[in-house]
Amino acid sequence: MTAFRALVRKECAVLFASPIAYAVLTTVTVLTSILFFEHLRLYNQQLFLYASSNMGGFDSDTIPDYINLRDTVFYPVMEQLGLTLLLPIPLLTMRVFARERAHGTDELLLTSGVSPATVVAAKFAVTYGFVLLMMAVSFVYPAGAIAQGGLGLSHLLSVFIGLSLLGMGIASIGLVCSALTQSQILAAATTVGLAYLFYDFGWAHTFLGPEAAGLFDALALHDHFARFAEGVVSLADFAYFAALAVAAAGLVRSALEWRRLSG
Amino acid sequence: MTGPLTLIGLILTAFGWASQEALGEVTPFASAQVLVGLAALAAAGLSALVRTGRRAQPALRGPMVGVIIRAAAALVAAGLLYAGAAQVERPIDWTFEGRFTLSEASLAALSDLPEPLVLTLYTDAGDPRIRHTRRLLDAFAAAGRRPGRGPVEIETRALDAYPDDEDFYGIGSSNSVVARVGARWALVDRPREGSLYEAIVSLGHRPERILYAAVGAGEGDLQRTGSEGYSGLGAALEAEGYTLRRLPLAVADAVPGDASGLLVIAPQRPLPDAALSAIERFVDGGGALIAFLEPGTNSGLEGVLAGFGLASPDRWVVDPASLALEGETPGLSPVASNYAQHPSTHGLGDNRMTFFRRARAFELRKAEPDDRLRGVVFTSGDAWTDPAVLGLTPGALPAPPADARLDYHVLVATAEIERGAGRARIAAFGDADIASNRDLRALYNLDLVLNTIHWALEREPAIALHPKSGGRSLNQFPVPLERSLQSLYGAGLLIPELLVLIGGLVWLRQRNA
Repeated sequence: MTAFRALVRKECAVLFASPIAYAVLTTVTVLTSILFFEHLRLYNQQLFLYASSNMGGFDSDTIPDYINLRDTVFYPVMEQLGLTLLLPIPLLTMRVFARERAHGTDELLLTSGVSPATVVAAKFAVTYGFVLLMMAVSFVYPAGAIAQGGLGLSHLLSVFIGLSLLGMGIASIGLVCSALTQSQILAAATTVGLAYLFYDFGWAHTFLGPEAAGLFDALALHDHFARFAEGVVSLADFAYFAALAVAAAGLVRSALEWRRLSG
Repeated sequence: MTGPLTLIGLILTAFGWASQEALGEVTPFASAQVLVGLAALAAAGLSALVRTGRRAQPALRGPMVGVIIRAAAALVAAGLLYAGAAQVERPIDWTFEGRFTLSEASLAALSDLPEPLVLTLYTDAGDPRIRHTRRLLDAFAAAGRRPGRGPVEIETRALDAYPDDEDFYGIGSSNSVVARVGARWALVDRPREGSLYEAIVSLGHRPERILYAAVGAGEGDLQRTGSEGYSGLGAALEAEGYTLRRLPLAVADAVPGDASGLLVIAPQRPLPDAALSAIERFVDGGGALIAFLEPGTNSGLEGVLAGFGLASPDRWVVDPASLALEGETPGLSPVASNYAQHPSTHGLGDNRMTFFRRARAFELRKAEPDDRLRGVVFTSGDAWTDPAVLGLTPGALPAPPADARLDYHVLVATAEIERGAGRARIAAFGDADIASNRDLRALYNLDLVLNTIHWALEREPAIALHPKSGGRSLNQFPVPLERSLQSLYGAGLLIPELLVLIGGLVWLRQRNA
């Protein structure tokens, strides 16, 4: 436990000593605020257009179903932010293992008596913690804006839980890529490619049968995080991202052990 | 060999996939590229393994196999974790209006079905509404899997693939649902829980009761549409299994013998004595009476109710806990959240309020010792009744008169009485607007009205909270943009600004180190 704590402290120090962490935090927060405000503005415009006095006012049933906070604000913001996360998170994860390997400090770490499992747990914990911090900071403005309406905060929270899990899912892929190479650029590029591939297997529907397409959909990141945008928090979706983390941690640990054995 | 194979594999796979994406179809060229690319990647992996195994000392080969097995075990554990969780899926509904949490009435409707229910969703590609509807249908399917309820099968069909269905069911657009039970079916063109519930109920077999609605003295009309009409209540009662018949009470001298209940909605003109006597005889004979009164009118029905112990002086309820309605005097539209424990108020409470638009109150005085009188819905404790509030200053709460008694006044009262021929149930509302098309779907008015009628007609098993349908969704409220802009300039941009500042300082420190 002491080794784990020491490693977490060291990882945090390395992470927050790098301007990349702040750049990622800033980018995601600014993008979230601007995207959310822009969609909120459009939503209000549409709502007032349909509810204007010559169309019946707010009490009438003249507002189309599709103009609502979920479909006009939450869902598009979540979709756009989900795709946006495919870029900054690989920048964050690329250095976690690849940098150690490039600098040769991984050998030092693996021969210091700390088990590979502890190393993996510490690095995963810090990376996931950073993703959570990033989404928590991004949540502040949307929550403040929605809270003024008095409703919908739990739904918005569900959206951000989904985004946080998506971020952790991308980070899982990124950590595996980082553990398999010593080139940070290669790690980042592979992460973007793999995460994009796993994001949505809709493209494969054209040449897959319905059963195979269903299987691929079950593996896709998008299907699992999109349900959070609808305000539905499901154990199965949590389990999907937990399974992704378990698989990634297992693969990274094996990669570290393999390197230690193969020299 | 590993490096070149990996490179070839990646390039071929990427180009094959990109070719398929660009053309929008699977060509032999793209398929061959992907297949050869994947084979090259597999060969590269194998080559790497063999090479490492050869290079490794023989003593390390065992542990290396162990590493591979552990990696495979991690993947299997992940798969099992996911598969296991999918089996015990218990979604939590955090939507604004509990959109995917079925109401008690929907669950009860599923229990009443004689055969399995098939819900078929008709779609056009790219219709964004489909995912919500599909999830709602999944909620019905999940409810159908629970013990005691009929199975629910969900189908999704592309409209262009089933043109015959389009004609047969009269489907007008994508996102329509056809509910089928055996050979019977109903089309739902705006699928929400409420509309699906009504379709499912119409396909089930429910014991029907005949409910007569008085007409002829300016009563509320169950066939009249528009905000002043009561057609919404009529439709809801029919969906609940009641057969509705009109009874011209002003000229009738008796309530028909097949009547399970009599509904009298706020007569505007005085009822003849014969009609009042017919009501009394009907109740004395054990019939159920549901009466809606309005302040400022006196049709004689008030006297009949008073005779059974439900006196209602012609005074207006003034409640500071009232809905502010434009153009109305404040205080005259009580929002009730105080309920007695009674079947008619099932599920209602502090956050499930009912809304009355101008009401009178009841005073309960037993006519016979064995009578059971209950106030079931109350105003707030700060309310009073006023004999004449019209003509007061609009926009200002009326001042309490000298004889005002601040109290929890009864807005809805019930009575169970026995006058020889059977035990009768009476329900009396101090306001008729609560059941009108304008207000029936407001807050929990529909639940209160329907459940009170169910109770009066001794249909307690039918009492349930009903799904909401129609009206504006809860998630269509405006978010004040000006304040949102202030939030953006505050938290929305201040936090990134601080982060940039810290990041810049870190970078400067690194550069100077």
